[in-house]
Amino acid sequence: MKDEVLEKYIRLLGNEEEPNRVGEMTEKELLLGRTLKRMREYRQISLEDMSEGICAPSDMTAMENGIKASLLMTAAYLTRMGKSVNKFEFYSTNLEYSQQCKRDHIVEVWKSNELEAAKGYLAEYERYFRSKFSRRWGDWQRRCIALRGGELPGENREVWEGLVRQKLYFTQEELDYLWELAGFYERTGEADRVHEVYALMYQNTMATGMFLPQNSKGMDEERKLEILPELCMAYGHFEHTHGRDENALQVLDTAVELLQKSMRMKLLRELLEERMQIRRELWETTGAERMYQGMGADAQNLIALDLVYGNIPKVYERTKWLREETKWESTILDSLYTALEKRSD
Amino acid sequence: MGEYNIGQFIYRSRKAVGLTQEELCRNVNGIICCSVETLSRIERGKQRPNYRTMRDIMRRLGKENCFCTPYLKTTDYRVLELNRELKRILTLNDYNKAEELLAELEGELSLQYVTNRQYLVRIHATLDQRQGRITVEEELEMLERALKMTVHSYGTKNFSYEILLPEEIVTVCNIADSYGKLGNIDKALVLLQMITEMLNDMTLQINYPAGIYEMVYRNRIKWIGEKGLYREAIEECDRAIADCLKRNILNTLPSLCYARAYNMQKLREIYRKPSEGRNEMVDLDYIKCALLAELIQDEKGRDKALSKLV
Repeated sequence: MKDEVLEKYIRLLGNEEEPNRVGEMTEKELLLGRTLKRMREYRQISLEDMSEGICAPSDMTAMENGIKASLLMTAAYLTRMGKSVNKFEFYSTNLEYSQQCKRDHIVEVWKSNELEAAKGYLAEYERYFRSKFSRRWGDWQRRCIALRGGELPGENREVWEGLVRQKLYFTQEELDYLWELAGFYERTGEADRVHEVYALMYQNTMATGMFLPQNSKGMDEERKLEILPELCMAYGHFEHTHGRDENALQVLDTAVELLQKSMRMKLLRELLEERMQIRRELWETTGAERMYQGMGADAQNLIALDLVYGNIPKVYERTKWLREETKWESTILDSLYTALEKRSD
Repeated sequence: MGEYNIGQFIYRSRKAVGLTQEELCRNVNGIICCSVETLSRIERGKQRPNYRTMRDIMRRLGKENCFCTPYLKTTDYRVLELNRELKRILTLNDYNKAEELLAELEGELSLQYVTNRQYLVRIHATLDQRQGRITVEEELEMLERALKMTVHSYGTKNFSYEILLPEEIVTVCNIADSYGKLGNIDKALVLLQMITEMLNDMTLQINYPAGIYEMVYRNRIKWIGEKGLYREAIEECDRAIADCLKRNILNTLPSLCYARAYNMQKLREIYRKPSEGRNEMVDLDYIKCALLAELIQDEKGRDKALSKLV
């Protein structure tokens, strides 16, 4: 090892002679709360704005000062800032774990349309967890259950106006509400309202100039992964069925590029199918070269996914279509076609 | 996100350093951080420690995590995002770009914190070895010293008690890889088996971030295959691929398909008759790898898989 390389490791490894098995450490812990407080103050967001819709400002202060730490409240704080919880390690008690499981269960039950059961579980949850933080969460669930049941909540207008005015990113509960609202308007046939709701969710997720316009990168990639695939699928499909193909493509592009960059597959196949379909239609009607190239690339990526899911008939069908009907040229596909032909022999 | 049951974490960490509850509660100077009854309730998950107690317990265990924290110690969120980008670049084996990012990251991290130093040692050792500046033996030495900075029971019989954080798991995988490269495949597999058991232990109530399981799988498959256990390696590949599909993880799929094809090819070489030509099943796996690599924009991976078809 060269001297300069060795020196680098000596500097980084530090003094290994210091007792560090058990005893008093000299390192300072860095609490999540301090990081979040710094982010909030840098962006000149008040405690009231940050805690609005989540909990009382005093709860938030306690969290920022490390007096209180709750996974659920931290997650809400982070999502409000457009950040993901994925960069942090959380240590929770059995009670917090149980609270999270109960919440997840309630959401799962109303999403399965068991609305009466969901109401029962929610009432039980609220008997056990009585903080303002828990009550706010409960309110959002009640609104979602009402929408799912075909009823527009009485306070919908105020809630909607609040969401439109929101300067920060939506929490998961607010997004769930907007999903249910879009579903409600779809069932009542109010297409313009559906478009408004999807557009609001999309704009909020993609916004970059939320806090300090000159220095904002927008929402974390991990947080976007939690929202965009599903949202872009629904929104893109809606725009396509209502004849707004360019907008549909832009929305679908957002999600596909995000998934490719972060190497995740959630809804990737469905997004590529939708996008390929739109590109194919546009190529067939306009003959645009970029639509042809895009369509071919999407089809090839779909073949990759079909292969990995073991859907060989679909792989064969798509490969044949690409080669023979669209005259798409690709070395990989030629090899694939040969291998498939041999296999069928 | 890594989410850990606080009671389990403290209990296992205490066992790993070989302390009784009484010894943990009272340090060598006789200072008490909490009563044994309180510690017992904390370990059983019945009570959440307050900040001061948690801090004292963690310090006495040689850990510096408290409640919820990023592994890298910084108040600048951008640093955590740089870390993410660096991981992505390393997945794509773009070592030159990785070195640029590491330099930027290093400039932002304070060396006052042991986890920051540990992280930097690990990344430097990996890159230095890949770029030929240090040998595999030297890389192994650095990695083991880095791990011991936060996992003091490493190398002792109590190591199996530890609950490792994701960065520590990556370090152990890197150590296993080094042992494998030095010919000590059994040692590599023992380490990876220990990690696998910890990850699959449902009683710990731990949620590990996406990609951790797949990374450990991939490492195990590599060394099982190198031992000549091709059938076992193929079975592991199938399990790992099914797991990736279940968790919607794309980044390890190309390398798993490649590993499957490679091990299948090796198995065929043992049993194949001289007159038999190429096998289309093996080719299909290499093609799968190439297509998936193209999907995640990994040109090197794609070309490597395609070269196997010639």
